[in-house]
Amino acid sequence: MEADTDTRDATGGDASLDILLRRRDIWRGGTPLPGGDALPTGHAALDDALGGGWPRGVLVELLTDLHGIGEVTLLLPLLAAQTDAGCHIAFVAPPHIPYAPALAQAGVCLERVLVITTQDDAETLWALEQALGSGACGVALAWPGRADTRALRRLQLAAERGRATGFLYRETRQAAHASPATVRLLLSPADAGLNIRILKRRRGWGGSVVVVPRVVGGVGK
Amino acid sequence: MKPLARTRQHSLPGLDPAPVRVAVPADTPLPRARNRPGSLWLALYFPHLALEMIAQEDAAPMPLVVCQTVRGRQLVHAASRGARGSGIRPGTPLGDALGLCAELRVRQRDTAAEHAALHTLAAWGLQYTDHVAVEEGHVLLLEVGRSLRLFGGMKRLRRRILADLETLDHHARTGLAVTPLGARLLARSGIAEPARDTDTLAALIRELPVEALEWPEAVVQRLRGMGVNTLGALWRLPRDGLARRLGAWLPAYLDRLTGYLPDPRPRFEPPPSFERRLWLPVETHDQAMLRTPLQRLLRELAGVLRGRGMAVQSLDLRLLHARRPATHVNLGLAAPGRDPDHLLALCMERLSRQCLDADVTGLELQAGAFLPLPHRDTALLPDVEAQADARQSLLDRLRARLGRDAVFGLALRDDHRPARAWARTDPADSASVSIAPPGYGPRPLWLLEHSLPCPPSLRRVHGPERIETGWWDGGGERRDYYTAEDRHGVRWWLYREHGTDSVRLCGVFG
Repeated sequence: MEADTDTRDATGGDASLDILLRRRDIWRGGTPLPGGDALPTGHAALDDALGGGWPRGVLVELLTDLHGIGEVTLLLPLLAAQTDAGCHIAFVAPPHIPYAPALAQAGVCLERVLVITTQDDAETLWALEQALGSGACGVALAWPGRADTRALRRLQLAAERGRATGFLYRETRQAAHASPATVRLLLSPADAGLNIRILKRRRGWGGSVVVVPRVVGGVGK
Repeated sequence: MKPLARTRQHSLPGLDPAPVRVAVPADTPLPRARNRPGSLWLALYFPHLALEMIAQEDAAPMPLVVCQTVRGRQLVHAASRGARGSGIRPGTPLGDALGLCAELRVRQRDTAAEHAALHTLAAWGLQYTDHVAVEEGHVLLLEVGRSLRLFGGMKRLRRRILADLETLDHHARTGLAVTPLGARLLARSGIAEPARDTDTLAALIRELPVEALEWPEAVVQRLRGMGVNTLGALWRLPRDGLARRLGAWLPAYLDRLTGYLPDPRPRFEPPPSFERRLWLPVETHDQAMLRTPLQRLLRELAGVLRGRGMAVQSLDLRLLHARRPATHVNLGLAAPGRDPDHLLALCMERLSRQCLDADVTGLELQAGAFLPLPHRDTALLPDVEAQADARQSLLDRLRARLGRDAVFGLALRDDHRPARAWARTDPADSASVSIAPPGYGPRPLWLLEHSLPCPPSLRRVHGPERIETGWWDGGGERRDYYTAEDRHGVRWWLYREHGTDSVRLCGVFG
C-alpha cells in the first residue's frame, strides 16, 4: 500500500524524483526485483510470494512445532526437480527415516538421495555444512536442534560456496530470534492445506501469507 | 694418452698386456665407458636416516640423539642440529652427551626400521624411474637416464626429487654419474656436480682420499702404506700389480666405477602392500599433534602408489602406545584414491571421533590391497565428472567422521508390505537397481520405526487400502490402511489388523 502511494506521489510530483526512481540501481522494497537465481517451488502462489521461488545457495528456515502437517511435502516438487537435474539431495538428521515409496511417488529419483543420521547436534551441523559446501548436493534438509547464530552463519557460507539451498526445520519460538537465514517461513496447518507466513525473504518484504493446498502422497485430496 | 686408451679398448679383458701405464701423467683419462649410452645414475644418500625415523617437530625442536650400543658402550650414532650445537658428535659416549646437554632426548637406534624406511623410499622412488636399487649404507640408486625427457631434464628432475623428499622430512645428498658406483661415490662424498661422462667423473673424484671408496679397513691401510692416498694416485698404479697384491676384485671394481665393465644392478621389486611406522618426538594424546606425522606417512604412501600406478580404498592406521596394545583405526573410501590431502582430511575427521585412552608414541600406517586407479577419460561433460568427484569426497568425509552406517541411500523393493517396500542402500555402490514406483495408494514421507497406539478423535482422509500379502514367507499381513488427520492438522498413516479392532499408527505425512 505504501509503495503505491509513493509511486503516485512521484508521478504527480517532482520530476527529478521521478527520474531518480527510474534509475535501474534504485530498488524500492514494494516491487520485487526481477531475475535472481530461483528454484521454482512448484506452487505458483508461493513462487510469487518468494519472488520467483526458493533462492539458490542460501539457508531457508521453516519454523514449525508439528511434524506431519506437510512441512516436507511442501518441498517435494523441488526435490523431484533437483534429482531430475542430476543434483543430490540430503536428509540430515531427519526425525524418522524418509519413506522411499513416498519419495518415488513424488517423482524423486532415489539414487540421488542421501540420508545422514547423526548422534548429536554438533554432528548434525557439521554434516549439513559438509553437504551444503560439497557442491554435490543441490538441496539439503536438516533438523538441526540447537544452532546458534555463528553456526547458522557458517552454514550460510557453506551454502553459498556449494550453491546449495539448505532447509532448516526449527521450532516456532526461533521466530523471535534473529537469524542469518535468507528466507524464514512460519508453517502452520490450515483447513485447506499448509499455511505459510513469510517472515523474511530476499528482495522483498515479509508479512504475506500463502496457503499451499494439501496433497496426500502425490494424490491431491 | 689417446693411444693408451685405444689399446685398452681393443684388448680383451683378462688378456691385458703387461703394465703399460707405469708413468702416466696425472691427467690420464679413464677408460671409455662401455655402458649403454644415455644411462645415468642418480644416487640418493640419506646421511640422517636414523634421525628421520622420528617425526619432526614443527617448532623449536628439542635436541635429540639416536644412540646405539657398540662393544657394550652406549655411543651417539646421530645427533640432531640442536644436539650438535651443544658439542655432541656421532661417536660421543651417551654419558658425556647427557653431560653436555641436560634436556637431551635419547632414542635407541632401530636398524630394522631404517632398513624398512629405505625400502619404502625405494618404492617411492619408482615414480621417477622403473629401475631403482637399494644399496648398503643408506643409499638408493635410480637409473634416471630414460626419465630425463619426461621430467624436463636432469636439473629439474633432481630438484623435484629433492623437493619431494623434503615434504617427507628426508634429506638426501645426491650424486649423478654415468655409473652406479660413480654416482654412489659422488653422493657419499658430497659432490653435487653431475658427471655425465667418464672424463668428468675422473676429474671430480681424482682428489678424493682412498677411504671414500668404502673398502675394507685393511685394504685402505695397505694402500696408505704404499703411499697411495688419493684415487688419482690409485689410478696411476699398474693394474696387474694391484690385482696381485690386493686381489683381482680391485681392478674390476675400478673398471665398474669407470664404466669399463658393466655393472648391472638388481631392480627393486616393490612389495604388494605399504607398511610404515613413524615415531613421534614426544608422546601426545592430542589428535591435532598427529597431523604432521600422518601427513608425512600419507605423502609417502601417495608416492609409492604413484610409482605403481595404483590407489587404495582402505587404510589401517595404528596408534602405538607405550606398554599398551595399539589403537586400531580403519578408514574406508568411497572410491579408490591416492590424493594425500584428501586422505589426510579423512584421517583427521576419523581421528576426531576416536577417543585416545593413552598417549600416542608412534603411528603405523598400513595399506593392504592396492587397486588400479579408476580410469579417467578427458571428460566430455566436465560438470558431471566434477559432480561425481564432489559426491565421492562428500561421502568419504561423512563416513570418516560419522561412521559407515550413518550415511545411506534409499531404494524401492518389490513388495506391497509397507515395511518391506524399501531398503537402505550403500550410496558408494552405484550398481543398485531401481524399480519403477508401483501405483499404490498414498504413502507417508515418514514411516515410524515402531508403530504407536492410535490417539482418539482422528478424522479419516483416505482409505481403506487393503494390503493382504506375504502369506508365503511367514511375514503374512492382512491390514487395512487409512490416512487420518488429528485435531492439530497432523496427518497419520494407520492400519487396522484384519478382523480385530486394534488400530495403530505407522507413518506420518511430513
